[in-house]
Amino acid sequence: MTNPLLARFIPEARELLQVSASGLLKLERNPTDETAINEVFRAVHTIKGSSGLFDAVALTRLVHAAEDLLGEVRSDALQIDSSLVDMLLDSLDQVGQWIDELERRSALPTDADGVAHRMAAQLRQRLGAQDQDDVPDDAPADGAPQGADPAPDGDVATLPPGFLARLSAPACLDAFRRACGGQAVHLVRYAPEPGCFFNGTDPLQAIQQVPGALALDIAAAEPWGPLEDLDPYQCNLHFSLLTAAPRPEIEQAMRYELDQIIIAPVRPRDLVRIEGEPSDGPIWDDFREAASAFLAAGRHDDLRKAVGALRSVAGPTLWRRQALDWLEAALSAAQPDPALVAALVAAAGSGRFDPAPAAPAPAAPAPAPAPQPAPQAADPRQELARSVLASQHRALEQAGYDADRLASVGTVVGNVLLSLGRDADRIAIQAAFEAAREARSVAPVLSALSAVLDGAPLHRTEAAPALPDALPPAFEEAAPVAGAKEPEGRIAPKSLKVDQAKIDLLMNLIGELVVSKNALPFLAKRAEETYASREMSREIKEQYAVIDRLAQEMQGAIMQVRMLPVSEIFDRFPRLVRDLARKLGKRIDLALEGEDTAADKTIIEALGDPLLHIVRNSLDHGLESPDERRAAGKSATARILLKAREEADSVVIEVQDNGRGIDPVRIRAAAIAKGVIGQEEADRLSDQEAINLIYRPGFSTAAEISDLSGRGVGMDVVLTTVEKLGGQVSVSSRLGEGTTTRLALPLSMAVTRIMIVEAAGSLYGVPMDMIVETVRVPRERIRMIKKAETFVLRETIIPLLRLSRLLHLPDQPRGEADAAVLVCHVNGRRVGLIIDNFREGMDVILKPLEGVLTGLGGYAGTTLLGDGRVLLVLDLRELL
Amino acid sequence: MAIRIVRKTIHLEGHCSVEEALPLLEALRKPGAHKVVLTKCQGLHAAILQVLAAARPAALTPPADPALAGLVMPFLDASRQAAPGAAA
Repeated sequence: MTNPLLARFIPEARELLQVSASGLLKLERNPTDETAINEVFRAVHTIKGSSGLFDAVALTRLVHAAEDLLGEVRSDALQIDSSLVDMLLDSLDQVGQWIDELERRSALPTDADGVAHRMAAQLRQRLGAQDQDDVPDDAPADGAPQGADPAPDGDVATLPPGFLARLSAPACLDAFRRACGGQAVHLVRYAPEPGCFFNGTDPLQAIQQVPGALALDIAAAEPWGPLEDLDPYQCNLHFSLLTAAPRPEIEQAMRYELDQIIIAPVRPRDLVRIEGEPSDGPIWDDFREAASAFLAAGRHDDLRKAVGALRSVAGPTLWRRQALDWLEAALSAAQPDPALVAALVAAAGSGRFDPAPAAPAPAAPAPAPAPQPAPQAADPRQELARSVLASQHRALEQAGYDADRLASVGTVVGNVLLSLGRDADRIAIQAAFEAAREARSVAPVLSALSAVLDGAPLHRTEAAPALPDALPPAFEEAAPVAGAKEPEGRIAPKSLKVDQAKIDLLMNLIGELVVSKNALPFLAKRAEETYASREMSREIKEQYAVIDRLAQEMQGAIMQVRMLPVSEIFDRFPRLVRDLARKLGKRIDLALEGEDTAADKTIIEALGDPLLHIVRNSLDHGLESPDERRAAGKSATARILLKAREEADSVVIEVQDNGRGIDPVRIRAAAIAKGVIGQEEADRLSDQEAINLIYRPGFSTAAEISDLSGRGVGMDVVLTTVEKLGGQVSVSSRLGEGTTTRLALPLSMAVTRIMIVEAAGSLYGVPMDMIVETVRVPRERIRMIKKAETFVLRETIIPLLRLSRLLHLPDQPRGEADAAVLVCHVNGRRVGLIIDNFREGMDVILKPLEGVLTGLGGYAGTTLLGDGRVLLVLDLRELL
Repeated sequence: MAIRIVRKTIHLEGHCSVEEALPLLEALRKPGAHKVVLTKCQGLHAAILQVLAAARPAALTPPADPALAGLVMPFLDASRQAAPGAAA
C-alpha cells in the first residue's frame, strides 16, 4: 500500500465499523437509545466522508445508503427493528470485506459496484417502504395537515409547471410507460451553491452529465434584480432534470454535487399529458362502462383488449384517443396501478383527465398493491392500509413461523389499525398474535388478517386530518440538510498510534538490558575474588541495585504499552451470539464482565479463536432451545456470561452458560465409540476426568456436524492454543445447570519465569509454570515397577524419568546421595524428573530457536545468563 | 475570444467560458437596445447563461446547434417574457 492516507483510513474505518456494529446491537435492544444512534450515525458518516478520498465509489455509495437510513432513524422517521439491523450489519460486513480488499490490493473487487448497487437499493427500498408504513402512523400524530419537514429524498417529486410541455409527446409517453413498469423516472433538482463558479464548477455542464435526460428546466433562484447590481459570478440558477436513469447512475454522475441535489421518483400520473381535439359519441360511454367493470373485476387482460379495439377505430388526433394511448401504457405494466388506470379510464370516458391526487403510488419499486383492486378509492388511507396489511399477510405466508418477524409484523399491523382508529380489530389481531406465539404457527394471524382484509372496508371512526400532500420542498429548505448533519466536533484523542514493530524493538532492547544487568553481580564477585577489592565489589552491587530497579520499572512500563483490554475480543461476541442465536432459534442473553482487564497483545490476539470456539460450542451444544428450557423448568432465555479478571500473574477468562451441562455418561460412551479411550479406562475415570475427555483430539459429541461448531476439530484446538501460550484450560459442569470453561493465561508472554537445573554437567531451564514441587528422594525409596522407576509422594505413585536420558546424555554417577526430583505437571499428569541439582529461579526473555535449529524438538528456546552463557530452556511437553 | 461586439450586437461564438461573463455583462449594461447573436455558439457556461437571462437583451438569435438551443432557449425565452420591455 503506497498511499499513506489509505494506510490511515483502513484501521480507522475498521474501528468505526466496530463502533457502528456494537452501536447497532445496542439500538436493537433499546431503539430509543439516542447516544447509540448518534454514535452509529457519526461513525458511518465519518467512513463515508473519508472513503470519498479514495477510488472506492462503490463503498461510498453503500455507506451513503446506510447513512441515509440511519439519518431517518435518528430523526425518528424510521423505526429500527431486527430486520433493519440485519440489513445494516450485512452492509457493514460488506464494507469490512472491501476494506480488507483495499488493504490487500488498494482497490475494490470488480463486482463491488454491482454489490453496492444491490445492497444500497435494498436499503433505499426500506427507506421508501417505511415512508409508506409511516404515513398512517404519523398523520394523526402531528396534527398539522402539512408536515413542516422538507420531504425526504425518497418522497415523490412534483414537476415544475410547464415542465412536461418541454417533452415531445412520444418521449413523455415513453417515460410514463417506464414509470408504470416500475422503472423509476427521477426528477433531479439541483441547487448549485452561489459560489460554485469559483471552484470550477459549471452547473449547466454538470447537470448535462446525468444520463437518460428527458427534460431540463432552468430557473432563476431569486428574481433578477437591476442589471447594475448583478454579480455575474454568483450562481443564481436552479435546475430540474427529468431522467430515466436509475438513482445510482444519477448519483455517480453528480457525485461531486451530491449535497446540492435532491433525487426523487416521479409518480406516473404526474407524467400524463394528453392533447388533442375534443370529441364525443356513445362509443366512449360504452367503453367507459365496460372498462370500469373490467377494472373492478381486476380483469386487466380484457381491459387491454377493449382498449386495443377502440384505439384501432378512433382518430389518432382526438384527445380521447390519446387518453387511450396512455391507458394502454399504464396497462402494459406487470402490476398496473388501479387508481391510475381508473383515472385514465375516466379520462377516456369523460374527455377530461383528473388525476386522483391523493392515493400515493410511488413509482419506485414498492410493495405491489393489494391483489384485488379495491372497489372504492375514496380514502387514500384505506387503500394504503389495505396494501400494507396485504403485504404483511404475504410476507408472513411466505416466511412461515419466525418469532422475530412475527413480532415486527405485529407492530406494523397494530400501528396501521391504530391509525385507522379500529381498536376492536386491533385487539382481535393482537390476540391472534398471542395465539400464534403460543402455537408457534402463523396460521391464527393469517386468518385474522384475511378477515380484516376481506371484511367491511376499513372505516375510520374519528375524523383525521387529511394526508399531507407531497409537498415540493423549496430548494432553500432542502439543500442544507446534508450540511446540517454535522452534530458536534470530535475531540482529538490523547493517544498515539504506534507501529507494533517499534514496541517490539523496545521490548527486545529492554530484554537485552535485563540480561546485561544480570552480568553485574558476576562482576562484583570477580572484583572481590580476583582483585580482592571488597570496596569495589560493594559499589558495583549498589549500582546494580539501582539499575535493576530502573530496568524493572522500564520493563513494566513497556509491558503496559503492549497491554490490551480483553474488550478487544469480547466486543465481537454480542454480534456473533446474536447472529447464531437467531440462526439456531435460541434465545440468548450475553453478559460481559471485566472487559477492562488487560493482558499482553499477543495473548489477547491468540485468545480470540479459542474463545470463539468455546462460545460456539456452548451455543450449539450447551444451550437448549426455548422449548427444552421451559420443559426443564428454566427461563426460556439462556444466558452466557463472559467474564475476565486478573488473578496474580495471569488473566482468567471464564465462559459460563446455564445450559444443559455436560453429561459424563454420554461423554464416556462417545469416547469409547470413537476409540479415544478403551472401556476399562473409561470405567476408571471420575466424572470430572470424563468431562476433560472433550479436550482429547478426535473427540466431538455432536451427532451431526453443524456449521457452527463441531467441525470434527473439537475442543482439543482450544487446549493446544491455550497451552502454547503457557495457559491452562479447565472445564466444570453440572448436569442440567450449565458449564463453565475457564482459561487462565499469563498476563504477559514477554518474560518467562524459569528454574535453572543441572543435568549431565550442563545447565537447563525449566518453565516455572510446569513445576509442581521439588523434592529430594532417598535412593532406597525409588522403586522399580517392571522397568520403570517410580516413587511414592504423599500416597501417589509418581513415575520417574531421568533428564539426562531424555536428552541422550551420559548419566553422572551420584553415588548414594538423594536424588533431586522435579515434580512436573505435564499433559495433565504428574511426572518426576530426576536431575543432578536444583539452581536458582530467574526471569528471562525467551528467544525461540531460529535458523537451522528451528526444527529441534524438546526446547522452548534459549536465553542468556548473566555471565554470557547460553541457557537452553526445555519444553517438557515435547520432551516427554 | 468567444465574445465579439459589433456596435450594439454581441456575438457569442464557440465555447463561452466563465471568464467571458464579465465582459458580456459590461457590454449589456451600456444603455440602449442590445442584440445578442448565439448562432455560432457551441457551448455556454452557466455564468453566461444567467447574465443573458438577467439582462434580457432586446433581441436574441438562438444557437444553430439544436441541442444547445433546446437546452437554453426555453429558459432565456421565459425570462424575457417575465418582464417584457424591461431590457436595460
